[in-house]
Amino acid sequence: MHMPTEYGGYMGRVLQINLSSRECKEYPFSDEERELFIGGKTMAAKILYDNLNGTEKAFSEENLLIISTGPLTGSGAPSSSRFNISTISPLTGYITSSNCGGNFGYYLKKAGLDALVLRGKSKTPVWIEIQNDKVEIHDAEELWGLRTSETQQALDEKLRLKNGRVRKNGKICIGPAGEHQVLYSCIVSNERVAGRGGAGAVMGWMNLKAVCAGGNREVKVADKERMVKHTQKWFRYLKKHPLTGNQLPRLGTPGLVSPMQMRQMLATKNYKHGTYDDFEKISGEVLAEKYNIVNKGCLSCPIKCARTVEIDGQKVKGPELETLVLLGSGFLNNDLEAILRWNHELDELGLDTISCANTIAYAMEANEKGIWKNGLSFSQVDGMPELFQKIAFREGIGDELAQGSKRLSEKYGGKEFANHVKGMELAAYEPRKAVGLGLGYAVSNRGGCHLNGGYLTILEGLGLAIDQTTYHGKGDLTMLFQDLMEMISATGQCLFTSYAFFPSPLLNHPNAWYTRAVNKVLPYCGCVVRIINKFPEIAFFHLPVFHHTKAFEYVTGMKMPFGKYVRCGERGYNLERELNRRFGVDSKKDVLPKRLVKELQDPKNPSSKVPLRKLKKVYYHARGWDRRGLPTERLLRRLKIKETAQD
Amino acid sequence: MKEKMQPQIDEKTCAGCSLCVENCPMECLKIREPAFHGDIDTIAYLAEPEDCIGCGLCEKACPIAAITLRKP
Repeated sequence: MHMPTEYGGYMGRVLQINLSSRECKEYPFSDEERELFIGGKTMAAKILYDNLNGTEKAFSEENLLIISTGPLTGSGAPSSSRFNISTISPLTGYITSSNCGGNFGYYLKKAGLDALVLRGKSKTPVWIEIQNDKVEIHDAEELWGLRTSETQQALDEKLRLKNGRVRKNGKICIGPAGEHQVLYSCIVSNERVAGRGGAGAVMGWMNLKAVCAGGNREVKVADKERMVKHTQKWFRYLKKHPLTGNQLPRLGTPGLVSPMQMRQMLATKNYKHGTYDDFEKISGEVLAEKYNIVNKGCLSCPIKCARTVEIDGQKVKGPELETLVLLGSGFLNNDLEAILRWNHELDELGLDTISCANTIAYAMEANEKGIWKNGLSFSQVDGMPELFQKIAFREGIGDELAQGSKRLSEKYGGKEFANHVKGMELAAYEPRKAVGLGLGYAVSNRGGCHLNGGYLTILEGLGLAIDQTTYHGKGDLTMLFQDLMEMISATGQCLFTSYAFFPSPLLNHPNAWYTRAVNKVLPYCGCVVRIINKFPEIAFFHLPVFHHTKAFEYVTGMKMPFGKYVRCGERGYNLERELNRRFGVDSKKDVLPKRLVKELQDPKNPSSKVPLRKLKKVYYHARGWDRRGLPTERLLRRLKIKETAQD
Repeated sequence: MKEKMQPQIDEKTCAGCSLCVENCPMECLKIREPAFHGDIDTIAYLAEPEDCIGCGLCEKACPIAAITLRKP
């Protein structure tokens, strides 16, 4: 049953593969659903919403692993080669969605697919090859056990043509960690990683080692001429912007280490402190000066935030900010070279660097406090690569650490310093000096995530500088940012394109009167956010600094003014929340570890903790959720979530 | 005549997004190595002109029309 689409940007096909029965068939996804649920993570949430009732476990035949692209994926829009992986997370038991760059999204569309829905469990290890709609399931016995780069090289050999060249393709694969179902194992594509939530473990449980896609289908752009002109303008804008044209390409995300130290939000010693004396030794500046060879980008990206570094004579991917901080200041470790090696090792094994580092930091503190004698301690980090190996292969202490900090704290105690939300560990930002992000962590649909949480740190010191500890306006702004980021992900673009949303003069002149005025006024603009949220038709225009809406129109042919764009994001966010409700999420699950809400970061400053209760109240109210933190029936009808449900 | 054409890359417009490199069936386009330490503006260039078959896939793939096929 092929359901072609009248819209540009879409290939019009979603394919589902049952690995138990090896049956492939089309999954019906209509144009009405595309209008409401766009693509990427929102499309995946809709498919999960229509198929799951809340009793499914991550490792079960009923769970789905959905790999989806957005309409802008492969359209030529900047930073648009992304794809999303959604499933029920083994770490949290709720929905997880992980967004990844590289080139797999691009090639999935070249193969003629918008999304791939996987379910079931193969009896033996397999890998899937998709070439222009044609699907083949191959035996993967000889790939099983290989590290992620070895797997991708071996697959390239299998795809080698008679002329000696490798057939153009995009790949995703898991490493030994996914095979052993480490709860926070990731999925790797080229050097890029869909890291959070443990989707790699679900793939491992399915006995699926890799997926390769390729073909020569083209993404149809509704108004090609205007799209080219708009993209030229947009590329130029991104290249001139201080964040996307200078800071990110020059320093990558590690460039934030120094500003985070300045704002006391650098997670140090398992989030005990917000500053680290040796921060300069692990800063983005030192990384760029000493180790960086070249900045690299995903396909179609002019920002190029990734690093290629040289270590032990080998050119490897450099660490992202979160990895750098959690393996650095998080462990009280100032050895940057070691961090570069560990980052590479974790990617090779297929482990999520954030959850892995947080779990080890929890174990170090538990050992320090004497509640779990495990031999690990801060500053003494000599045997790390061996420890990662043990985790990936679930050997000895590694078998325990493979479960993540939530389960360990339930077993050994120390819940107050097990830094997770809903079971997924926090990113590297210490939220007691960025309380808006603290709220974001707590309410995030996939657990302790800075991006799904709205990334308010960009306003709280890492871009603009609004009051870091006030709760005023944080609920409304968190909602707006979550909705915008939900929609950017759903369209298939990178969230970094939204950095250019902040006008350059505000970032170039942080002490100018107008920047200070914006910083003062912004927390009191919650009412504007709520008005746009309630009456999106008021925002019937395109914002000059927000190029996404016009690009969406030119590619798809759908009307997408700013208000509608935000509304689509809101729909996606509420859909995930509504799905999570079935699995038991309510306000009681929107909590932070005690350390962050009870202990003061600075004993002399009584406001240096997250006022979570107040923040949640404002946020729920802004969202239109009830006291239990759940979307009301009225809201669900307004967002057309209820009417469109099949159940 | 088309097989004698080769891509000309407008260096001022190219942002080094790699779409042309990825789409070249003969692997003759590459992203330039950094000219100096910290060079962040690496762009595409025709590294193997003798291998180029002038198929035009790079021109088609470029999202900002920075590539035109011309006689070398």
